[in-house]
Amino acid sequence: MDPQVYKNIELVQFMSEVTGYKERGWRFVNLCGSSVGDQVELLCSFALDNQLENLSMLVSNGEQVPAISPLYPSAFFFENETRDLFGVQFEGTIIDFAGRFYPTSVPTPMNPTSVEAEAWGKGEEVPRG
Amino acid sequence: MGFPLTGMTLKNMVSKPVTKRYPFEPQVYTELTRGHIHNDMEKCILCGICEKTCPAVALAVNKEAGTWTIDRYSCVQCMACVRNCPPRSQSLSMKPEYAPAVVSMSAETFTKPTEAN
Amino acid sequence: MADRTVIPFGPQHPVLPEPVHLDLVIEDEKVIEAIPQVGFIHRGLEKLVEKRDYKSFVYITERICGICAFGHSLGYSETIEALMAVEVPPRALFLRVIWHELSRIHSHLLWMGCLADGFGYENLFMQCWRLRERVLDIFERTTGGRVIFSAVNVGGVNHDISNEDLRGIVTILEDMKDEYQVLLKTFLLDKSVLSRLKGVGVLTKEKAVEYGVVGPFVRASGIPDDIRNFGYGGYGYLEDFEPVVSDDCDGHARCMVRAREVLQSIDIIKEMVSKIPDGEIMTKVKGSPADGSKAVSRLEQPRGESFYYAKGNGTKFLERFRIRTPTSINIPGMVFALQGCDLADVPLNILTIDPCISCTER
Repeated sequence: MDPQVYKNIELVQFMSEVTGYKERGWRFVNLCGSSVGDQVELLCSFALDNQLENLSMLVSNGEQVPAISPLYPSAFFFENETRDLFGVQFEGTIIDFAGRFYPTSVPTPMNPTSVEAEAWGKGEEVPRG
Repeated sequence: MGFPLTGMTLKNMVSKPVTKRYPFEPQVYTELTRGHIHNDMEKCILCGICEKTCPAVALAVNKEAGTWTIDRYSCVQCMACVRNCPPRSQSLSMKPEYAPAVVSMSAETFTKPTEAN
Repeated sequence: MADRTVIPFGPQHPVLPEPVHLDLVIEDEKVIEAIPQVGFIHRGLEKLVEKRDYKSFVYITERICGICAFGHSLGYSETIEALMAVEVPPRALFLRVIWHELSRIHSHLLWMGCLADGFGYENLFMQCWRLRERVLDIFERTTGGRVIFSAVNVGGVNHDISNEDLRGIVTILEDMKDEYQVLLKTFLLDKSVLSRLKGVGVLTKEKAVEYGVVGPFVRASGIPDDIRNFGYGGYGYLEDFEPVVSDDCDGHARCMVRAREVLQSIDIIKEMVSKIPDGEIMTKVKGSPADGSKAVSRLEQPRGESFYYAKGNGTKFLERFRIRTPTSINIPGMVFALQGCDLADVPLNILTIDPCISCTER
């Protein structure tokens, strides 16, 4: 079983933590969102051999998150994905699809404040745009 | 370097085909093959656990009417319902043969025989 | 400077069974830049976890992708077991490894067939798929499904394989090994394979580290990165494990790594069958994941490391389940490996990475 290491950080510390991992030679594993109340919790994981560490931070709606793809190029995929599904805005993504990465019928379907999320929670028919 | 596959290729030219002439030679199923769900309505107690566990929402149980409905187009043959069928009933089972072909999309409904009949 | 042209590649292309679209910026015959576009089959299965019982969701995870089916259900179960601190009986761990290695054999043989088809070696393609059929028959006999097994659930495995059947599997694999040696020799030494794959799609060791690629892709660039090496799950019972590595960094090296991994998997299965203990195969799991509990786990799938993350909310539905599949991190690496290659090599370049787009989009 993998080690369960979670570091709760503030958004302002994010870039310095990521730079630290890059300097120590860790590789980027994953970036994903999940909802906590009205906010989105970002989880960013790095690995080196059998060590695995996860950074988690809370992002409010409309907050800008610094992109890590200039440091870890493969992160562009996940930044575009998180933007399309959760509505988290990244600043400085290397290949920015500007919200056209996943064509979804409603914008940001997994954001906790979106229309779809509310309708889904109540078990209603989801409005189609 | 060279062509190491030549031997196998030449052997293939004189050996029998590997494929089966399907409709003429019947397919042999194993005991475990997941073909279609069968419900023994005599034993079914209409508890509704299968409906709750179905990941594909293919089942509907109506206790008042005594019916058990399966939408074979939604069913993914995962066997979740068979595994969760309560031991006191054990009415659901998986049959190795596939369900017969139909010409229109429809759900199959089975009715529990009443004791009066 | 020569004129630049943009050539759209995919989502339907004879060499790609999967829908990925690339915009290739071409100068003369050289690719300057490739911009990937996915999202043709995004199904939102990660969202569905909020509406399905966590014990039923395992059947949905294995339907994410046909080839990686067993890996996904195994990864999901391991994550939920970490979330709820469930102890899995050792026999179940052994059976999981046996099925997972069998699915690695079937996935690699499928890929080798597709690759042979990609460079026009129809004969080799058919021979690979003929051998793969035997593995599928083993699956049908032991789990009831040829591609989707429904064999794993949270807490253990659903089916047992009798010790007699396990020895039967080893015999089948031993028979296969002789015929497989011919195919292996073809992939490693055949003139037409070599002239098509040598020096195609080079990704150097430094670049592989920079892009963080995983699986046979990174092992072909000389980095022995393999999750099985850390002994998670049943792999801890293995005597020793040495990842297959090649230093050539090109398409042929990737082909060689996968081809050798098939033999390695057969050896792992043999070792597992000789050591398998008797006993229970399923631990009864009661209750639901606690509110706010989190778990991550990693797994070496045929295509590379995949990452799973689950978050509970105190009910029988999970708050969030995330799968980071090997291809989603290999696609950026692939895009960068394409820069500077010939237009005619693009399809083979993409094939040697073994993209699985259904997994990537979920």
